[in-house]
Amino acid sequence: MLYLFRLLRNNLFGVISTLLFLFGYWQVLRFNSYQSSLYFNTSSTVTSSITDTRESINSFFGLPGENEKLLTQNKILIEALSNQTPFSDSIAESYKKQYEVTIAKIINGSTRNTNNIFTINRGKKHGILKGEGVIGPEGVIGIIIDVNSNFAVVMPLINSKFTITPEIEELKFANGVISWDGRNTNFLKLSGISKFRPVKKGMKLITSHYSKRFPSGIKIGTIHSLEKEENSSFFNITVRTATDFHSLNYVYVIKNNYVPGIDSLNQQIMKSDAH
Amino acid sequence: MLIDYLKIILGIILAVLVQYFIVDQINFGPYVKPYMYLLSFLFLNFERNKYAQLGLAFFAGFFMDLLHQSYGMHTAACVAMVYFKIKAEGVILNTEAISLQGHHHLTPKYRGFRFYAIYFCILIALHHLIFFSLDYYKWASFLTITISTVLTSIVSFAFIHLIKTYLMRRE
Repeated sequence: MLYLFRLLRNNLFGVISTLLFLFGYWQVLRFNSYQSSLYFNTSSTVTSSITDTRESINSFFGLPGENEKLLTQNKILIEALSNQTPFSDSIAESYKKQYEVTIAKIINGSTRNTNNIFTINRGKKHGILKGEGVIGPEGVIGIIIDVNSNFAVVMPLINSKFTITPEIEELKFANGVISWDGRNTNFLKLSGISKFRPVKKGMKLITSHYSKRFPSGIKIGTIHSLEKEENSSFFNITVRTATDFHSLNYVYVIKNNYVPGIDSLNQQIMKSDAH
Repeated sequence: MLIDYLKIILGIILAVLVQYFIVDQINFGPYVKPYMYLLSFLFLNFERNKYAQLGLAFFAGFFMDLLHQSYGMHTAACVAMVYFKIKAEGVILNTEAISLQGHHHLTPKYRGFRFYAIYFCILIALHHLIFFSLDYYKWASFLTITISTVLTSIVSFAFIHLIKTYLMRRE
């Protein structure tokens, strides 16, 4: 025991260094969506004023671009409104509104890491729930992975854990998986598309109508390049993101009111299959 | 003594804020994510207590993690870098000779710019290697980690050297 104490005393610097290193490493191991939101909320009292200052500086310099995006968004909304099917009042009333939109502001986030996340200033208090889709003026942003009363954490497309199945607009064909390899925030990878499909450079990728989280037709990106790999029956496709993740300010959280109904129906079917 | 430490802590806060507000806003392209905040504790005096140096590096890394939501990655990398820096100072450098030249940290005057650049590049690369390894955290990304470490270390060193030279000239 005495020998152990002497050994510790003689190597105190190494021991303290190791302990501090392990403290950092422990935090990394605990890194997941829940911890990240917890970490942010406990530290927000310290960093919120700094974050706010940076946000206001960025907002000021980004105003012209932001205005342009808002105008584009307004145009899309007006077009969508004017193209609505003219249901009679009684039929329209019988349908529950499928999608509800909540506007939120990104108050913190990273684009430099492999597993990037964004924090938005809307939480349970504002009706935000885990699993809801998030879109921006230019297209899909990500999904909500954690919520507390005032804030929510978004896992964006530029997170190596995020995947989504797109629809190729020109082919009306939904297949493959989009993911991010952690390198360039402007490009994603699309895998699982057969070489026999007439896929071409420049084709648009949108959310499919099978998606529970997003309305169909929301832009994800465009095909930037495609290669035919030998010994594989699939294309190797690079997708340019529709969204510029470096200049995001405001986003829209999409609530699909049909999801609880669909989920309960699926559960019933699964239960009946089990019996 | 206390004022001296207070100045260093303020320097660290300033460096991390410059990193967060300015350097992080610049897109250097794929693989390159320079970290100039290391400057705030990389040039601490040889004579300074080694535990204090470790504590300051821990503070810098922790503050950086707090702002970047990187959960211990910078903390672990900074602590490891300072540990090896202090060990290297005892083995590689003749601190007395450097002190006789009127400096309290390694300068290009000691054994030329090449030695100075290699010494700091290795220390910075060690920080970046730990940081990127924790960030990517999978063996499959070994090549990406290596390329990111090498490219970022060169850019980080260039940043740090330019700022340090400017500050020394002002002094």
